[in-house]
Amino acid sequence: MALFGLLAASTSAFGQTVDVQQYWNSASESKAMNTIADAYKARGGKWIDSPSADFDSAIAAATSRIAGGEPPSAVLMNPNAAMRDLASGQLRDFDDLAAKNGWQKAIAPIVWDKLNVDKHLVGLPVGIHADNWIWYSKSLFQAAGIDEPKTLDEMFAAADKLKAAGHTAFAVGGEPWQEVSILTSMIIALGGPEYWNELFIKRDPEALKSPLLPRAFELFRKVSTYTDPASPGRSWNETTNMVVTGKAGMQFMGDWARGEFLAAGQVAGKEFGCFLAPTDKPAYAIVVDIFAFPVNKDEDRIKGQTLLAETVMDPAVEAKLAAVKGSVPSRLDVDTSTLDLCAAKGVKALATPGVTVSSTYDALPGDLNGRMTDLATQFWTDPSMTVEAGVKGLADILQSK
Amino acid sequence: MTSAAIRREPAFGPRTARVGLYAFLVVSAVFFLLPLLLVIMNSLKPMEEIRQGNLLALPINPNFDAWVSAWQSACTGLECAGIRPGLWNSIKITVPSVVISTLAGALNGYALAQWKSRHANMIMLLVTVGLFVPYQAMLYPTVKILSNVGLFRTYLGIVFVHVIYGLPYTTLLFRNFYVGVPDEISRAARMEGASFLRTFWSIILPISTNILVVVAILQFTGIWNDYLLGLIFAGNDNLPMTVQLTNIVSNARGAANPNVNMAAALITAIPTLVVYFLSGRYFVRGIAAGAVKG
Amino acid sequence: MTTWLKRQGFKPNITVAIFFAVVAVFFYGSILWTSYMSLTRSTLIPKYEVVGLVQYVDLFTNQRWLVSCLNMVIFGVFYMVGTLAFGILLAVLADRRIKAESFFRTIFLYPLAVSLIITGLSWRWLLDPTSGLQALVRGMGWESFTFDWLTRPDRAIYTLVIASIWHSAGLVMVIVLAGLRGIDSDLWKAIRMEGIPLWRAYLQVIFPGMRPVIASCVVLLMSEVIRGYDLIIAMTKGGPGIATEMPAKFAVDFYFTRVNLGLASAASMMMLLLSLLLLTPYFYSEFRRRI
Repeated sequence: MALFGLLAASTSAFGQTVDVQQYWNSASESKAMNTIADAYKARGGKWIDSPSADFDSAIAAATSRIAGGEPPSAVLMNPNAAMRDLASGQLRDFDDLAAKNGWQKAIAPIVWDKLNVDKHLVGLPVGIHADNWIWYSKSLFQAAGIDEPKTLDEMFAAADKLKAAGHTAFAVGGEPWQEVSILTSMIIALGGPEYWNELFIKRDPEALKSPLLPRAFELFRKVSTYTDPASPGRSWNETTNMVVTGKAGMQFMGDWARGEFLAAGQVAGKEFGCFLAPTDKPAYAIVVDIFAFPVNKDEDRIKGQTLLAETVMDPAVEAKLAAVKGSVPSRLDVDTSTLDLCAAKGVKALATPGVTVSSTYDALPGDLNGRMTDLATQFWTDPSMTVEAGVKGLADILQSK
Repeated sequence: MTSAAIRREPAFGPRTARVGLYAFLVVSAVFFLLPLLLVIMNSLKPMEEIRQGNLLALPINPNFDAWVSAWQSACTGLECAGIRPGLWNSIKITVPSVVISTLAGALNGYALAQWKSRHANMIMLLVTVGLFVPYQAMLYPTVKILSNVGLFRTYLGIVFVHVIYGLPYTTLLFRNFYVGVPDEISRAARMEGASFLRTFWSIILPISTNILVVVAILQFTGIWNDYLLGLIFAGNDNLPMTVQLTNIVSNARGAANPNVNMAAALITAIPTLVVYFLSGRYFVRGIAAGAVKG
Repeated sequence: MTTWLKRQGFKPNITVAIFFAVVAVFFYGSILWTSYMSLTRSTLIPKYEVVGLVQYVDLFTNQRWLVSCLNMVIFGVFYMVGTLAFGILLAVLADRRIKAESFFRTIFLYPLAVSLIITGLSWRWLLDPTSGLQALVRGMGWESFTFDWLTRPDRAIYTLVIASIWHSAGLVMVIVLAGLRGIDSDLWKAIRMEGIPLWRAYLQVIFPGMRPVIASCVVLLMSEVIRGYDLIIAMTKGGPGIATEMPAKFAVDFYFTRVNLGLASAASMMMLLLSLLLLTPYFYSEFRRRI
C-alpha cells in the first residue's frame, strides 16, 4: 500500500502539464490566478502560463491554436456563445469526474445549465460574478450626507449631491463593454428577473414593446451626464481606482471590482460599500468565470487537465479564490461565513429563489451581445441619438435570426 | 547625385522668406520630436511625479527605475520577468526573416523584371494585390497550412510566415528597381555563358547595395514591430518583445504604471531606432537611387 | 535538383513560377477560402454549408460596419492628402539648400522606425486631455485652452489622422526628395530663363513630371489605410463609442470575439474588393505604360 502510494505520488509528480490560456491581468485577477496555479502546482502539476493582453486576444489565441492542432489545455472564458460553439467536438467533457465527485449537487442549477452543452459538462466554474452591482466610496457618501440608495431616484439624488460637492458622481470607463452593462443594469432594475428573462432569454417580441425599455435608455443617458471628461477608453480597474481613492462616488461594475478594493487594502462596509442596481424586484445577473478544456491528445496534458479540474473544483481553493477575486464561490458547499459584507449580499441573492438570472453576456446567442454592445456605446456617445432609435436598435438585434 | 547638382536651383529668395522657412522646419521638427520626448521624459519619472503632474512636465528626479522594472520585473500574466525574455526571441526571428525575405525578393524581382511578357505584368498585378489582402483574412488559412506541415507555433514556422507575408512587398520594390537597370548588363553576362542564378548572384546583387539596404531596413522595422503574427505563430517559447510589451501595458496591477509602460515601449523601439539612425543615410540614398519609383 | 536547375539555366520564368506558386497558395488560397467562408454561417468554427449572400446582407445592415466604412473614407482622405501635402512640402523645403539638411531629414524620418503600436500609445498619452498637451497649456496659464479631440466622438478620428501623418510624412518626404533631386538641371535652367515664379514652377512643371513617384506614394499610403489596425487598437480601440471603428478592426472582432467567421469573411472580401477598385486606376496606367 505504501509502495502504491509512493508510485502514485511519483507518477503524479511527472507528466501532468497544463497550458493555460488566460487574461487575468489586474491586481486582484493575477492574485486569483496565482491562487489556482499555486494549488495546482502543490498537487504536483506543471503549469505553463500563456497570458494574453485581454479577453479578446485570449479567445483569438485559443481558437487559432485549436484550429492549428496545438490547443492550450485550458482556456479561461465564460459559458457564452464561444464556449457553446467550441463544445461541438473541440472541448473535453467532464461527465465522468462530475458523476464520481457529485459536482452537480454542489452547483446551483442555473449555473449547472450554463456549463452543460447537450447534457455534457464542458466548462468548470471558477467563480460567480454578477453584473448589476454599484460600488461607492463610503467617505464621499458620508461627507455629502448620503445613505445607501434604495431606489433609482435616491441613487440619482445621491449623484446630484456628489456632483454639487465637486466630485465625479459616476466613474465610468468609456469602453463599450463597460457602458452596455450600465444599460442592462437599468433594464434589470426597472424590470426585475421576470421581465429580464422574457426580454433576453426568451426574446419575446411582446417584451420589446414594454414602456420599461425607453425608460431604461433615458436613465442610461442620464448616467452619461455625470461622467468625467477623461472617461473615454479608461480601463475598468483604473476606473475602480477612482472610487478607491475618493475621486469618484460610484461605479457600475461587476463584482470583480470588489477584488480591486480588497487589493488596495480596503474593507467592505468601512471604506467602500456596494448595492445591487436599486429595485423593488431584486435580481442578480450572473457572469460565470470558467475554464474550458480543449481536447488534447498527449497523456500528460490529459492528466494535467484532470488535475486542474480537481483543483478548480476543490472547495478550499474556491473559498480562497473568492476572497481575492471578488466573486462568490460556484460551489454551494463552500464555507462563505468568512466572506465580507458585499460577498454575503451576493451569496444571499444566489440563494433566494427566482432572483438569479443569466447575464446577457453569457446568455445571448451568436454575436447578439456584441451587437447590443455596439448599440449601447453608440447611444452613450452620441447624445443626438433618440431613445426611440435606441429601442428600435435593440429590438432589431434581439429579433434577428 | 552630386553636390553640384543639389546647388543648381536658386536659394529661397528674400531674407524674410528664409526666416519663415526655418521657422516652419523647426516647428515641424518639434511636432516630430514631441511624442518621443514625452515617452523618454515619463519613463524617467517615478510614479509619484506622474500621479501629481502632467505628462509633459520635466522630470524632477530622473532615474532609471522604470527602465529596470520594464526590463526585468514587470509582469506579463503570472510571470514577472519584464520584457527581457523577448529580446533574444525578437532577434532570432527578425534576422533570418529579413535576410531571407530580402534575398528572395531580390531574386523574384529580378526574374520578373527580366521576363518581358504580358504574363510578367499580370503576375505583378496579382502580387500587388497581395499587398492589400488584410492579414486577418489570411490568419486562419495560414494556421491550417502550417499545422499540416508541422510548423505551427514553431520557430521555423514564424520565420516562414514572415518571409511569405513579406514577399509581395520586397518583390515589388526590387522589381521596380531592376526594371530601371539597363538590359545590357544581364545580356553581357549571358553572352559569356553565365546562368540566370550566376548572373543574379555575381553581377546583379553587387550593383544593388542601395536598394538592398532600403528593403532590409523596411523589412527589419516591419518584422521587429510585428505583434499579431508573433502572437499567433511564434508559440510560447519564441514570443517576440512586442507581445511582451502589449502584455505589460495591459497588465495593470493596482493602478496603471505609465512610466514602466513607456520604458518598455522605448526598450522595444530601441533596436529599430538604432538601425535607422545608423543607416539612415544609406536608406535615403537607396530611395534616391530609384527604389520606390514607378 | 541543382544539376537540373543548371541544365535549365534557371531561366527567370522558373523562378517566377516557384515564387508565384507560393504567393498563390498563401494569398490566393486565403482569398478563396475567405470567399467560401463568407457564403456560410460559420461561427467560431468553420462550417461548410453554403447559405448564399446572407452575410453580405447582414453586413450592409450592420450600423457599425457602415460607420467603419465611412470612417475609413474620412480617415483615408485626410490622411493621404495630409501626408502627401506635408511630405511634399518638407521635401521641397529640404531641397532649398537649407543648412543642417540631414539633421532635419533624420528627425522627419525617424517615426518610420517606430511601430504603429508605440505611435498610437505615445499619441494617446500626448493627447489625453487630463494629463497631456491640454493640461500642459492650461498649466502655463491659458486656462480655457481646449484640445480634447481624443475623447470627442466627432473629432477622435482626426487624432488618428494626426498620429498617422506623423508616422508616414517622412517617408513621403524622402521619396519625393529623391524625385526632386533626379530632375534634370536643364529644366531648372529653363524655368529660370522664363522667369516663372517658384510656386508655379513646382505646381505646373515639376510635380506633373513626378507623377509616377507620387503614384507609388499613394499606393503605399492606401494599403496602410485599408489594413489600418494596430494604430487604432493602441490609440482609441475604436472609441469613443464606435467613432473610430474601421473595417479591419470590424473583421478582427467578428473573427474571434464575436464568433462570426462568416460575417468577418464577408467584411474581408469587401475590403479586398474595395482595394481592387481603388487600385484599378493605378494598374491601368501601369499597363498602358509598360505594354
